[in-house]
Amino acid sequence: MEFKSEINDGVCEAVVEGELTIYHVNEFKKGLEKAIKKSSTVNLNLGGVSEIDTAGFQLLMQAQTACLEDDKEFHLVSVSRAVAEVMDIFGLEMHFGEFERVAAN
Amino acid sequence: MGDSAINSFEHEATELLNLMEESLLRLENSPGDEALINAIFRAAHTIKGTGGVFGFDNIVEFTHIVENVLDRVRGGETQIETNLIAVLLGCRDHMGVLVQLAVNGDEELSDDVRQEGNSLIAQLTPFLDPNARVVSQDEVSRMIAAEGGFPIDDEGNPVVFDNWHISMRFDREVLQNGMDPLSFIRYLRKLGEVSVITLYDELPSLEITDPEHCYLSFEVNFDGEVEREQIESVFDFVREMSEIHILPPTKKFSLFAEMIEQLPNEEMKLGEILVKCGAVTEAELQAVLAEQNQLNFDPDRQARGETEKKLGEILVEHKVVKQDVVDAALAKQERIMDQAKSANRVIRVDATKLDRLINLVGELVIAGASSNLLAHKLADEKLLESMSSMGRLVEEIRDSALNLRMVQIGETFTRFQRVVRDVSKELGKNIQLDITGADTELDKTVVERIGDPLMHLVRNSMDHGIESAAERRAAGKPEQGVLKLNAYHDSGNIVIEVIDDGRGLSRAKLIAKARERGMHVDEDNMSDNDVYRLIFEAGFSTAEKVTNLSGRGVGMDVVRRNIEALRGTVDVESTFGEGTTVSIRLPLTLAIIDGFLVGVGGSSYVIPLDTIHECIELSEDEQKEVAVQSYINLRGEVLPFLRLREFFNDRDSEVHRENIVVVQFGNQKAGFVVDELLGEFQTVIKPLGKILQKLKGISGATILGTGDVAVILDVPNLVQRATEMAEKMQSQLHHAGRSTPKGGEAPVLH
Repeated sequence: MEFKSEINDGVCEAVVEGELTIYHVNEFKKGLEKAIKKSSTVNLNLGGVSEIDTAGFQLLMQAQTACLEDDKEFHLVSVSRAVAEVMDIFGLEMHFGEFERVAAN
Repeated sequence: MGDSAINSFEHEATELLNLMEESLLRLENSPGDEALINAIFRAAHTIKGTGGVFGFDNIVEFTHIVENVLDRVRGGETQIETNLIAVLLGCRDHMGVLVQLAVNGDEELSDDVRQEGNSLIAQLTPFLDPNARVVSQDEVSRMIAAEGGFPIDDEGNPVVFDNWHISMRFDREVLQNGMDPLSFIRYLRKLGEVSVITLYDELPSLEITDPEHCYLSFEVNFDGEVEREQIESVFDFVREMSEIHILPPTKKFSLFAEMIEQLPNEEMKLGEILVKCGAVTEAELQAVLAEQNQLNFDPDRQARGETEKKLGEILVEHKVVKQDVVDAALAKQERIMDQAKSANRVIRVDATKLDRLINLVGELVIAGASSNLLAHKLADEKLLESMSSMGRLVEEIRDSALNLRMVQIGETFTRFQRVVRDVSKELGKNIQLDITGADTELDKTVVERIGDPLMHLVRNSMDHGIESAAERRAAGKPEQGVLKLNAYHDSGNIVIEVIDDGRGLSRAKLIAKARERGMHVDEDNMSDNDVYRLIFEAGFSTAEKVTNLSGRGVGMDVVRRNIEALRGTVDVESTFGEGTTVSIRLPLTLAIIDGFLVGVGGSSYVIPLDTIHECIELSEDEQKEVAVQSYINLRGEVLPFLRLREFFNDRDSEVHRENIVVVQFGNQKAGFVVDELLGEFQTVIKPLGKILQKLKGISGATILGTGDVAVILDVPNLVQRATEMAEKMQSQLHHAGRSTPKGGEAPVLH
């Protein structure tokens, strides 16, 4: 997994690529926490996620909750097929609002 | 569903309905008896349940209301009163009609039946909730659906969940163990349609979360043609640590109930039943059993005095099965146990098979006896030994075989409880039925054929015999009339009595009536009993008004003919103003009697042992004395006797010693003069052929071990003859001085 984030004017543009699975969740969690702390809006780009599991997906939800609780904005800018599939499986397609679906990884 | 299933439903329902009737009648006398109330409730409940399994909606809907009332009775909210019993009896009858219609496949009720049902429901309604309104059948369907916990739509149809429901609560560490809930759901998607509701309310905040833990739970709606095991196997690896509940589709519940019904009737534990019908898997059962053990041996729980958890409770708590299924399984279990119990008590066998068996046993006895004779001739010790043990076995077989046909008359009698109750209501009389001698045994075929004549007699007594309460008061009798059914064994006969304490028969009225009917009546020479017997003449009825029960003059002569067809007699005794007793006397000319074998000349005769009073050896003086008269002085009593030798015209043999066997029939005694007393003898009765049946004086024949035939004496008939002859002889002596009587009657057997 690769987690890159860049903050401009309180807006965090974060990009996750590769496997977002239990093997990387601690790293992912730290990245998210850091990103949220320093910004008022988090735009998360998941277009490059090749694989996501329950552990990874949970963190997405927790990140969203963390933002909402602090009156911050949380958006998924783009979602890979892998992520979309899991959303579908969990019945949570609408959970993260509108986002762009990436046709291919 | 097969015919056999429907047959067994019919059979079961009939038994339950009978039980219900019996219990209701008993409840009337002891309104507080909880065991009875429960029995009635269970009967109705089971009929409703099994009816439901077969889809007999009419039964279910009607019985449901009955059950509601019974439930209130059980809960003490509604009191048992005579009115209620009457309505419930009516309901029981109606249920019988519905069962019959359902079994015949008539789903549409006729207007009459529907009306009857609605009228009964209306009568039941006051016993339901006091605030309850009169409900129609249609509303009932709704209530049932609502009660079952199924939501109902606007049209009143239950909304059915067609899909499996799987609820997954994973262990926190499931992810660390290398398993992902996602993969389970993915797999389920391969088996069928899946829609998931993800529950995330347990997700902790980002800061404190352990990202490697699983916080999500899932409720999965799964639509696929799979067996429970198949779904369960998906979760094989996580079951130990996680809570996975698999709820079958609603439609499966009825399927389960159906399958439970179809399970073989073996005694099974609840768990086994549930596993067999597929409602629970073996693994779930083991888990729950383990938990049950743990719970029930938990010292804390015991200390708190909590009762043991039942398997069913735990299963329902864990949402493994619905209560309905557990109930169905429990009902099945109970029924199997009941059946096992009643199977131990009763087995139904075709009567012709029994007859055949008894005939064969008779032949076996005879064949055994002749083998025994041969063995004695050969004098082979080993052969004799084996013959003797075989003989003992044959004897036992004979006894048990003969016993098979004997049934107690009690069941026949108890049927009249309902009759007496209903008829007395109808007539507005207060009549109590007393039953005695219910354990008197008699032949099955006789029991079957005595029912109708008894019914006539009972109705007759109630209608004409017992007076109305007002009349009884005026006559200084208790208002409640008493009708008694009594049975006892008497000298190889069974006597069944119908006794009432009513107005009795009126000699004058009977004679007047007979004259009116154009019968020839010789009033002066008729004893009271002769006059009373007129009621058994065809077309004879003295009832002033004809009711729908009796009084049409067709009853009593039919009764007489039916009883005579059984080779019995019917007699009536009456005291005007005090009551009437009708006695039916039936011979036990069934398969066996305890006989006493006597020898006369070269022939053997069997006298039924229970008619024998005593045996006397005649001294030589007495022999001379009896040679010239037909009675002796027995301790101051005149004892008429018959010389069997002469009676049966056996003139060839020499007389050495004579004995008198004193027999008794009713209150008459007589003696039979015989040569030899040969001792007790278990007698297999062979019916006489048609030609011989009309012979007076003998009631049957039997075959002795030697292969010889012995005649069984008809004691009542012979006693009567001896008495008549003695009287005749005495008057002859009186008129003609001493003469030597020889023979007397014409011989009847050559």
